[in-house]
Amino acid sequence: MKINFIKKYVVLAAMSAMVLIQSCQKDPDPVIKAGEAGFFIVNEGGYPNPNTSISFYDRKTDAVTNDLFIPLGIQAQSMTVFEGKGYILVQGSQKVVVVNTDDYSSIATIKDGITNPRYLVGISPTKAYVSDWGVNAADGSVKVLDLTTYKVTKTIATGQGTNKMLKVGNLVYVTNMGGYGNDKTIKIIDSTTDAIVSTITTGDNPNSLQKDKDGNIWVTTGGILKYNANFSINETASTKGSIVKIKPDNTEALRLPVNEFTYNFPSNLNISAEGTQLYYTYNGAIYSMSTSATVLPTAAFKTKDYYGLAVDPINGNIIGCDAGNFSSAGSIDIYSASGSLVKTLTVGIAPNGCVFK
Amino acid sequence: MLVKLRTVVFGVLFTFPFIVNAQKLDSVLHLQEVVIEQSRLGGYASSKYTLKVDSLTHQLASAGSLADLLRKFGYGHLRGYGPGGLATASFRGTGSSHTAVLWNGINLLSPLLGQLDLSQVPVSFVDDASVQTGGAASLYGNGSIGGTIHLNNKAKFNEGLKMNTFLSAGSFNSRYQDLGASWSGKKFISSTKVFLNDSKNDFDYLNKNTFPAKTEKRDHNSLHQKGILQQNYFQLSPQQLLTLKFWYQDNTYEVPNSSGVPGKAEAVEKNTFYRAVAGWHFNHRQVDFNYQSAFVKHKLDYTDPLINVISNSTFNTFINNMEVNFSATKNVSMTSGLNYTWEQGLADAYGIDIPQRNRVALFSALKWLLLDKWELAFAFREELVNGSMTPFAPSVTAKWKASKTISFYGSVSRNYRIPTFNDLYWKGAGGLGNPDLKPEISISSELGFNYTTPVNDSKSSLAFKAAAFSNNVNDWILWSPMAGVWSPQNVKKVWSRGIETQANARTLINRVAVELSMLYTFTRSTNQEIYENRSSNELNKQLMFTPMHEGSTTGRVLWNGYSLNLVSSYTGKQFTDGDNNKYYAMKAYAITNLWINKSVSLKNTRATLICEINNIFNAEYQSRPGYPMPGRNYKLGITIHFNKPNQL
Repeated sequence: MKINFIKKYVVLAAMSAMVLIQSCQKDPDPVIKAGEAGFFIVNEGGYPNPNTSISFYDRKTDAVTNDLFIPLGIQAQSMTVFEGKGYILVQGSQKVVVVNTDDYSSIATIKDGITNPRYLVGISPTKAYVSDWGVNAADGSVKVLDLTTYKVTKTIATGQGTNKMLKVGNLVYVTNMGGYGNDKTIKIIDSTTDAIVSTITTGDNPNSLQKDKDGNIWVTTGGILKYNANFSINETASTKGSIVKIKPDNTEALRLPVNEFTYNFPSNLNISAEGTQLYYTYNGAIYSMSTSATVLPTAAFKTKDYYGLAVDPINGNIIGCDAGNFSSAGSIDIYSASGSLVKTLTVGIAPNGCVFK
Repeated sequence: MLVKLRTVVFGVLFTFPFIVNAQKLDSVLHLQEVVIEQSRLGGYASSKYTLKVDSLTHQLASAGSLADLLRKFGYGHLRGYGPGGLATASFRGTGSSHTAVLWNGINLLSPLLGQLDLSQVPVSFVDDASVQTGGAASLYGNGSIGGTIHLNNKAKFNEGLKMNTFLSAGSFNSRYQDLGASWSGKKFISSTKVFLNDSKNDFDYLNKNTFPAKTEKRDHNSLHQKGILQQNYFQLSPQQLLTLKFWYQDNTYEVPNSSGVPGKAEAVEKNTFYRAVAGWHFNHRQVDFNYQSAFVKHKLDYTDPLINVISNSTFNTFINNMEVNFSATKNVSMTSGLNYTWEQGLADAYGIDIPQRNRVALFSALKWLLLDKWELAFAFREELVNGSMTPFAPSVTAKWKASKTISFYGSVSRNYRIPTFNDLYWKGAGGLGNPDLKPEISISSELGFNYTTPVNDSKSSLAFKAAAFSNNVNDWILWSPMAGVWSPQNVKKVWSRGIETQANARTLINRVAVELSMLYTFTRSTNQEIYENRSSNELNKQLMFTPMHEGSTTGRVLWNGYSLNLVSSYTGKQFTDGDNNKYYAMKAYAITNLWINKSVSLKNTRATLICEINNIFNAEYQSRPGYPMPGRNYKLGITIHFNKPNQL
């Protein structure tokens, strides 16, 4: 009698095990199809989860393809398209992934000599610069990358928390945003000799920069935030972030501090294709200002907190990247230059910027 | 404590009538079933779905932590970062802070984090452990939304001198040493236990984050633990018992990087705690009176030299619990009590503020047996935190004994979790606590069914339990970025529902005992509402790190001092993001562990040799993305028990 019960139970257990095995079957691989003209969106993912990805917005079909190039690893900081190839800088995984932007295939992975890669600037068909925070963000540098061998050939020490770069002629302007400490320099490297030729001292912790139509360099600086023992902001030890204008002779023409001491400091500086209108994020909003302005705008272009920002060079649309809670799909909001919302598209986890092909 | 008192004073072992049969079989198998609802409040939720840690499992898992036990023996869902790291339990699709952990009735959750790291509970320091899933245990108070883990110590008078040691060594430079001695007289018991646990945890794993994937050694993953537990019991008079307990433990963990992050990790986490409890228990006729006073000091230091992080925090809690239990008639019993808890948090991240809370809770319960067929229990708890009322937490349970072998029950309860100190008071760059947070509130209901074989057969037994549950958590607290600063908000409503089942079959064939048990849970836990329309893409999606299917099968064979114990556990696919992207989901895995042991008794001494093989099929799996678990590994241990009884 009891034995029958046990027999039944064994059969039941075996059946359950089969059900379990069936439910283990693999999901199909993602279908990746090459896109038409459009732009990529870098989804940084939720550190330390290896869920960083690239999305592609196709202008023709007006649709987004998500989950491209995965698995990419942990926290892609940026992607640059240069000479027909895509370079994805995966900071958490400490590598640069080279991809074909037409058929979305992978070409190479560069790991040696790369520690905390941030941004890439193409110099020549055989050479690129990669800004790198270094091992502990105090030894930031620019890595010289040979695009034929995919090897790091040289390391140029630049400062703390080396971040965005801008190529102007043969010169490359390199911001140092402080890493885990502080820095206030922009280093200028001659890309023909890979030597630092000049240092600009500016507002604390410069993080992004653009060139306007007159050849001026505009910079966002983050400032320094220091706290009192009760965690109120120590205003004497802190500095405000600012928008800085540097003339072509590398002297500062303007330094416009923002109103608030904030962790959400000015960053993500973008410029319109004509080089006349600046856009940046600060304190939970997008701001827009003309390159002829001498004061900061008082009203926001859009009051919403964006993690990344881009300006579409083709139609002048402003794209805000909404990272949400960093643990589920984020979105991008596309605004016309006049500020009306054109559309919102769902992308990957924590989008931080857009890359135009 | 009611039960403990009875156990201690009258030497009566409290068991439910319907497991008497199983017990009889147990004594044949040397498988003493551990009494679980030993805490006095357990009786008021007696019909609840519980998982018991039986004595064989307890013995086999003695060289490890409660987290190891739950993981290796397939008891419910454990969240953590791999062997030796932080581990918390999640039951019925709820969060990591939704399981209360009670040590002899004292709530051990950190007021700073709202959690207890189960990797810091050595199995050898706890005489019995059980998991009670669901929220019907309103009496247990703060945090008991998904379930409650009960950790109890037992003692018996007049047992003489006992000594025991457990020495074990295993793969990855693991060593576990444990030594205990107790003396039990007619009116006094003193027991001391110490343990040392070391492991490098430097196992090989296949790192798929490298191209091409290659086998690497897990680096910076060691753990060092040491601790002492001292217990004293004084029988002051036939009615009065005084208890004194002291628990000190030091835990140092290296915190590894995600396997996707190259380079050397340097972070270290150190936990040091002191727990002291004094209790006075009085029994006279139908009245039991229990008073316990506990002081806990817990220091947590986290340092990561690589990114210049030094984060020190300490909490102090002073818990006072008083309760009166009154058996009015044979069929009606009631309890009432008062809890006063003072808690204080000191953390670098709180600045010069030293937050503290005064919590006063009143609870009461009534149990009524009706016509021998019905058992009704009503309970409630109301807590004041710094003078503000928390949500009223009532529960109702009804059980119907349809026959000698079959019973049905149903229950409804309301439970709550108050925000932690970190939730309320965290300050500093990038993060900001929210002093306006409301407590989380849950409404749980469940229906259950129990079957056990009739009492008259002592050779075989069969037991089956099933419960269907539904649990709604409102005002779920979640940290998310607000204008670049991470801050907690009451952001969502979560509905978890599912089924839990356990089955157990045993039989004795000649002198060979065979036992087969199985657990299975189905959990659907989804975001029902997201306030202020934030992250609306997470609506109706399964919560992260919450598998829908989980189960385990355990087979045992016992013969002549030998035992073989085989556990296969299955953890279903888990999503790692809020909108259930299948590309980032963690694959399902099945793990099989095997123990073989042999006991030899000689006069007053019993020695047991335990061989353990974990993950025998060398399955490759992760506890979290980038946090690999070890492949096949081995452990060899020996326990020696010595007992010199008192000359009566």
